[in-house]
Amino acid sequence: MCNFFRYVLILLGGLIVLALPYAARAQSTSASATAIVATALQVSKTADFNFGRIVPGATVGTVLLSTSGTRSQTGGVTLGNAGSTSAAAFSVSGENNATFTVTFSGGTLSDGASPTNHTMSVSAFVVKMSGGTDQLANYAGTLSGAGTQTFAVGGTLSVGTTASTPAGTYTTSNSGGTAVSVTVAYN
Amino acid sequence: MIKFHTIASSIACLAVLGISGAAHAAGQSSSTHNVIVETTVVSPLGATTGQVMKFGDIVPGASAGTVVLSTSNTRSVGTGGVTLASGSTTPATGVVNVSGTGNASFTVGFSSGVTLALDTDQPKTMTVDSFVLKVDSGSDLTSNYAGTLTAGAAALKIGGTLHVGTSTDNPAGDYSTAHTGGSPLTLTLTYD
Repeated sequence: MCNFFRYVLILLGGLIVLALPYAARAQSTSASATAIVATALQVSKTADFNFGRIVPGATVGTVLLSTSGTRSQTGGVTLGNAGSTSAAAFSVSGENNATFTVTFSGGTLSDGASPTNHTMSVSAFVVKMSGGTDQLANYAGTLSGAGTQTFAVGGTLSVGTTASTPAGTYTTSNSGGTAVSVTVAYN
Repeated sequence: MIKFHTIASSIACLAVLGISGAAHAAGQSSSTHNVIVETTVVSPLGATTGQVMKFGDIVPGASAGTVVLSTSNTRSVGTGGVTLASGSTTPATGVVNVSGTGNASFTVGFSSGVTLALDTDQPKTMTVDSFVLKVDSGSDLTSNYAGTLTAGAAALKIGGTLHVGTSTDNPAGDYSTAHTGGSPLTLTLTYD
């Protein structure tokens, strides 16, 4: 942006030097700035994971919990009564149409036994946004035009043998356990 | 005379500079939650035979019949031509001891085609069905067999109906599911 003006003073043989500065027009520029304050991202958990009742066997195995709350198994573990089986579920609200990512960490269940507790881990999370398909990695979603979204989470429980996994209630909130930490962030 | 020429050129520069660009607030752009994960581990259901089912001494007759063994070691003639004898074998209700976890409930399945065979080369057999189940001090169940563990244990009392042929079909001798040609009674225990 340039602006210039110049003035020329012409003296014609006069004895009088007159300096008549050109009227300097007030130079004004104004800058405006805008910023969008995004609606705060809020997440609430509406269901915890529950793998129901399981029966370890002579060999290790896994229990897979789908995003719709159904279970299947591999290896030596047998599925017992479904009982309170449930996929985890979350409700998100924030900026209309914003995209967000989901990340997980942790996930150790313990029976809290003393002096030595017994543990098993949960991993390989599966995320399904409402109306979407199962995501196995790079979990992402989009808030609706009204700024909301819900998603369900399944996962894989790694189960030891009967020797390493005696009967009891195993939970991430027992001593020796670690909760699964779910972080939802705007892109 | 003074002439003034003023030449001024200016390029109107009254431009409003607009700076635009979205800047999300630095505050609540992510949120973290801890999720609880839970599972209940139960010991596999185990079963050991405490007492073999014994129908005792019977005498087949001219027509087929049945002998019914109760859940309390008694037996009676159900139908037909068989009679009971008080021989050397004391009738006994079958007993199976179940082990598992806590006070869980479970169902019991009885195999079909339970067959007792004579302990000789003769293909003489009798079958057992219509099992009656009594779990601990519960009532007799003739279907939808189910029970509940108490402190991880339960005692199952098992009776049933023996189908006896005529004296030609079933000549004298020891008949057992363990003999060649026999088929055992298999219980399938399942946590609910």
